Amino acid sequence: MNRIASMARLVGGLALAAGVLACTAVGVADNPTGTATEKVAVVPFKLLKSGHMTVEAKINDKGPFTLIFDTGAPANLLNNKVAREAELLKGKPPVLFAPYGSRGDVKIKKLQVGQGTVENVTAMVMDHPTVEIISKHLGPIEGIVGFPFFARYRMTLDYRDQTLTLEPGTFQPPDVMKEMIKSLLGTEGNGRDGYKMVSPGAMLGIVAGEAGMDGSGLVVNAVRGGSPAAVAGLKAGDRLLSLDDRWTDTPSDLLQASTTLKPGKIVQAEIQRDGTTMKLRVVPVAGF
Amino acid sequence: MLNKRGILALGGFLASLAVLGAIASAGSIRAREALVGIGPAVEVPYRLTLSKHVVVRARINGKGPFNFVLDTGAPALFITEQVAERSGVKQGDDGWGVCDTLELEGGLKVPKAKARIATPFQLEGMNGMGLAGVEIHGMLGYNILAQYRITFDMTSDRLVWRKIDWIPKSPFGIVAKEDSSGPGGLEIIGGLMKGLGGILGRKANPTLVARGYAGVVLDEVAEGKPAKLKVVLPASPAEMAGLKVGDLIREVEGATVADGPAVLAKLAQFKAGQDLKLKVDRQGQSLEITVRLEGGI
Repeated sequence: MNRIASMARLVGGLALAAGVLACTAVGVADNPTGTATEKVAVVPFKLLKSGHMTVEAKINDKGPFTLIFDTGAPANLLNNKVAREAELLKGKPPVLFAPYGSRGDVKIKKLQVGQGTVENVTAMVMDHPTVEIISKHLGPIEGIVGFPFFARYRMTLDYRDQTLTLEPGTFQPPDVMKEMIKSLLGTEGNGRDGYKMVSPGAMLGIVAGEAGMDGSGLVVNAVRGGSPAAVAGLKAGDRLLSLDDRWTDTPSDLLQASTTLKPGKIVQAEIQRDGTTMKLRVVPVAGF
Repeated sequence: MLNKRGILALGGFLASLAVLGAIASAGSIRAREALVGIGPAVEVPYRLTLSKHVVVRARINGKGPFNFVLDTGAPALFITEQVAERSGVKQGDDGWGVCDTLELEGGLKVPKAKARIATPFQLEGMNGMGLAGVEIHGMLGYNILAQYRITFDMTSDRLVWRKIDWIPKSPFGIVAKEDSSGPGGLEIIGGLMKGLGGILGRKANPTLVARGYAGVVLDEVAEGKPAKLKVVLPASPAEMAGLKVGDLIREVEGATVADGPAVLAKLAQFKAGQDLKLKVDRQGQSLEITVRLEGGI
């Protein structure tokens, strides 16, 4: 067992290294004490010919620098030039092997994007070849701002006005690195060995049956007596099309949809019975 | 080298930007700005993946659902070859495929969505290692996102989309060019990650297995409050095992459980068919009861 564990650790480490190379940004440990500003900020962005958007950002009061705003980026990224100018590499020992100028994670004390400010946010330092190509043609562009920034806000994206509206939020971006390692080295039932244990947010009393295809909904095999599903009127043989607006073609779909349930919070179950589609109100309960 | 009419895909995937080609010299992106109108709000359920991608589900031409990352770092809707084939989307002479219907979960319909048909290396790598915890079938990028005003709120399980009366100009100059320069030598990573994923026994789509069902409803589930049975459902495994309303759950499989959340957390590891050993407190009397869990959510 130990050998397997240490192999998983080694391979996991390699995988993470590969990830960093690909800028796959598994290495983002965000400080959960980081805070976002209190006021609503309207941040203008620039739309590039390529369809990407850029924002002006100050890093520890240095700059502004032009960064690509990327909702698909799990990490912030800065090139070495900016990292030096913002004095983020101070005290970081030189490295012998730095593919694409990769210097690992740095902590930014203050990241300002327009009037939106977050404190204690992590960025990875790397001269990303793709960013450099874009920069060469449409630049200068010095990096990427992504999830660790915008997740702190209730953010509205509007391409017509070319603005990001940032309302103060309470969400603290989780530690991506920790979660990924946990999953990669995970125990049985946590994504390793091809399966993952999942718990609903609340109990319904539905036993899922055969999957449907392309929107035809899964078959309800049984409804537990006295359960919320039974009270709502669900019956064995019904096809469950959606739960709480999430499509339920397969038992896995239903399980996934059930993870966001909350005890006492009414949700809609859309079913098909004898060719008729109907919507039932279900009140899930705390239980198992 | 860089082809002037190549394709630029800054697939923000894992912060990775795949330049699948090069930058085009197109006209002004502020093509047409009509000032009227914002459509009604449509709530679109999403999930935040393990890799911290905001993923929505969509059906294309009635097929699917498929999982898409909302990605302002991608200049267009990208769908994999497999998705294109399954949903009958064909690449036209201009390099684009057209989805007759693209319906997002929650009921949002995007008419005649134009898509690039490709599998960026980030997708391959991510799916190969199962990094997201769910298979990703593509990215929803600029040409679709720009038609909506979209609110992201990670404290809610839904996004809010409103149609805006503005037609984004196609990021023109985007032309399929398979042989154009890649994203600076990063393509190899996709295969590498896939290989590692194989060694680790990871799958893009792990099979989800539900915790087992006992048929009990708990009184208030709160930290510090002991887990008390409020209801024992008729003919349920719990009833058959002899659990009664009012029982306080003290131990699960020999581990002390202080409160409701602890019971639920412990239970999360047991599936249908397994026996769950409980120690309950019934009016001061300690009882050991074993429940054979069944299936049910």
